[in-house]
Amino acid sequence: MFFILNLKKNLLVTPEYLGKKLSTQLLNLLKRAVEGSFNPRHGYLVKVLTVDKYGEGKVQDGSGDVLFPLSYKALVFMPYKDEVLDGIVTNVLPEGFMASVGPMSLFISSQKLPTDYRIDMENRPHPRWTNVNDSTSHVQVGSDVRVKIIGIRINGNEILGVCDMSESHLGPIKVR
Amino acid sequence: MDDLVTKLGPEFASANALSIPEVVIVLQYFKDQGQITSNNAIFEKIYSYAKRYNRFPDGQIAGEVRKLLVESDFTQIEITLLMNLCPQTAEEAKALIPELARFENDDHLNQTLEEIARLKNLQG
Repeated sequence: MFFILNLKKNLLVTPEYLGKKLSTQLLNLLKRAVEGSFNPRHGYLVKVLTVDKYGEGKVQDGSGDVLFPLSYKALVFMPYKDEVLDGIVTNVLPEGFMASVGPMSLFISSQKLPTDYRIDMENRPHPRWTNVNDSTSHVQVGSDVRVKIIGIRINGNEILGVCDMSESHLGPIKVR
Repeated sequence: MDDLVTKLGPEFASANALSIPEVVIVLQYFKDQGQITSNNAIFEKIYSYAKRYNRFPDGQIAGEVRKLLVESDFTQIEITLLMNLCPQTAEEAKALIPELARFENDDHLNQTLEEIARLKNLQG
């Protein structure tokens, strides 16, 4: 889910950025430092929205760098266990399939598909999972699915959502 | 928000949830301003994700849906998930959004979902 989050950051500023237009400089340095990052506590930081406040800078001994405490608002994407969301299928495997939600990868194991789904690796142009009781229902690269997150694995900057597609009202969806 | 704060951590106590249609509006604003730092690779990924799954591309309609849900006493998380997932029946809504189990009677929920569907169909 997406949130607007109140966050804090101590930003170390080298002397060349000090002077006039300090608040603009701080905003630009903050954006460069945090936008596009992933943090297990607040998820993906998509965009800094505003700097609400910056405190008095503290000059660091020796370097002349100044440390500024900043309070800011940012748009974040933070997935959580039990969240239902839509994603696009990126890879179909005999073991299940992969999908993506923006920068996040999802894995749906064959164990977590409804029992009437069968793998068809021979299908062309793309292998697919097919519902034997509904020939219009497929999972293949590029198709849209609704799944539920049952676990989140974090490995450095990579995050994998382990998902379920077996419960009612989950599965392939039509977006348009 | 309380249950989710427990799940997500104290940083989220003062957070506001944003639905996908609203995320598109915010990101579009920054895109139009040309304010995207070049190292922000996830911006484009989130932007195209949100565009693809935006059920209310008409921002005015999205605003009306939120207003309707706020006035009908849905919580912030329920509003966000209803706008993201657009379930069609009370039964589907409760399966996707467990918080909605607090509505024992489905009539209120069904009426609200019908009104959302009506607004959704007003879009071109």
